[in-house]
Amino acid sequence: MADRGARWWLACLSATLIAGGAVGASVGSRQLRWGAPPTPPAWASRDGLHGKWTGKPLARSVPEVISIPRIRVWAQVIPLGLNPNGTAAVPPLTKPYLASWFDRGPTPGQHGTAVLFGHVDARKVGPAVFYRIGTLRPGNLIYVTLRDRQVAAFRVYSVALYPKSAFPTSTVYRYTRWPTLRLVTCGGAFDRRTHHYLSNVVVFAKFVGARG
Amino acid sequence: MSTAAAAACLCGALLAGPLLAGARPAAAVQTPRVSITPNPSAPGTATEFEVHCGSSATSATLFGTTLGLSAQIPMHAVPVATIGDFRVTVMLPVSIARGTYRPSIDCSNGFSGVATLRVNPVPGQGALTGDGTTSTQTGTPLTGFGLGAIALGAIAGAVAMIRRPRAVLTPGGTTRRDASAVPRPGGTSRRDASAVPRPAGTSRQDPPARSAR
Repeated sequence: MADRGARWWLACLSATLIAGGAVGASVGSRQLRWGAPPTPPAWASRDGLHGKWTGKPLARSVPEVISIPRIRVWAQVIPLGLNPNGTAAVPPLTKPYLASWFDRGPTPGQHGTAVLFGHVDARKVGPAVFYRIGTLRPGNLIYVTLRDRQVAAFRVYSVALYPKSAFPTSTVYRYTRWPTLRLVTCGGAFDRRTHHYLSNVVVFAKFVGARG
Repeated sequence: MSTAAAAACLCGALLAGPLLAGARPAAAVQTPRVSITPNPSAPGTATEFEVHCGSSATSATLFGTTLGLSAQIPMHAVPVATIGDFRVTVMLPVSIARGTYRPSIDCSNGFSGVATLRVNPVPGQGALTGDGTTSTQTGTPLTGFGLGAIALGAIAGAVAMIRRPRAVLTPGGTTRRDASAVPRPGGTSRRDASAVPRPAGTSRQDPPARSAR
């Protein structure tokens, strides 16, 4: 009698495990492993660059490290220019935790706009260095360590998503008397045909001081 | 003749020396100090020209033809700077080619200078920063748990099947279910002594036969 009960329970357990496992495996295999990159809400882009810059800009010094405590980013920065096709050169996908600085423009802390690029994802690791910059909000801080050992601090004042087909070059690269910083990565919908994201996430930040 | 010529040269040199020396500072004064921000600049972006004409100037003009802009662009006096400073911000054409440009700036007091602007292109489109891994790659840890549960279920099912009782044929023609029954050479099992055939050819579990006797 006891054996019959044990057999019954084993059979029930087996059926439950197989059925539950099948459902779990099926659901799990269809879900995205990491999820699409976070997209900033429209309200996060409404705040502009207010106020008048009265401070002293930093001397030109190449950026070496970027740190964003809010999203736990700490990454090395390398200087890069343009590709032959006119697009911004970015680090190779095999080095997804590197960021790059657009070396044709000012360095962080100088008058004007310093631009840093970083990958949002890469096959090797999944989420890459700038995967979560879409979650930054006005008020968050960004730190850039320069070659002269000064650390320039920037405060985010806007986060926006722009379609690549209408990328606002003049807005992103425009000259500003207030030293500003831009972080650029991919975002929005992914086009499986071209294997590219259709938009860019851009973080706008202004210089608020330096310590060295 | 040669002595007279030499004397004339000497006199000329003596006269021209101070004149040339005096002319040098005068030329420096008449060349206004010009600054451009940012420099290098980029097509389609704002670029600021600032000139220091001196206190006697009341206006200044930037000649923008070489940049593809208006021929004469009036500059505005800088309200908080020293007298004679003028500034204007222009938007460089998107189509301006990479290179070095030298637009002229004239001051109302007669000073004239040349600004040297370098134009470097900026990326014409958005950056390609990602391969879509996070937007396309499926398979959460739930998949692994599910497959593991299926494997465990299969093992449990197999165990249940193995523990299923075998059919034991009793001498009376009936069957008994006992998975642990191991038939002995004599036809008996260790756990069920009652299955041993009795001399009368009946078993204890065969009441009808007993009652019939």
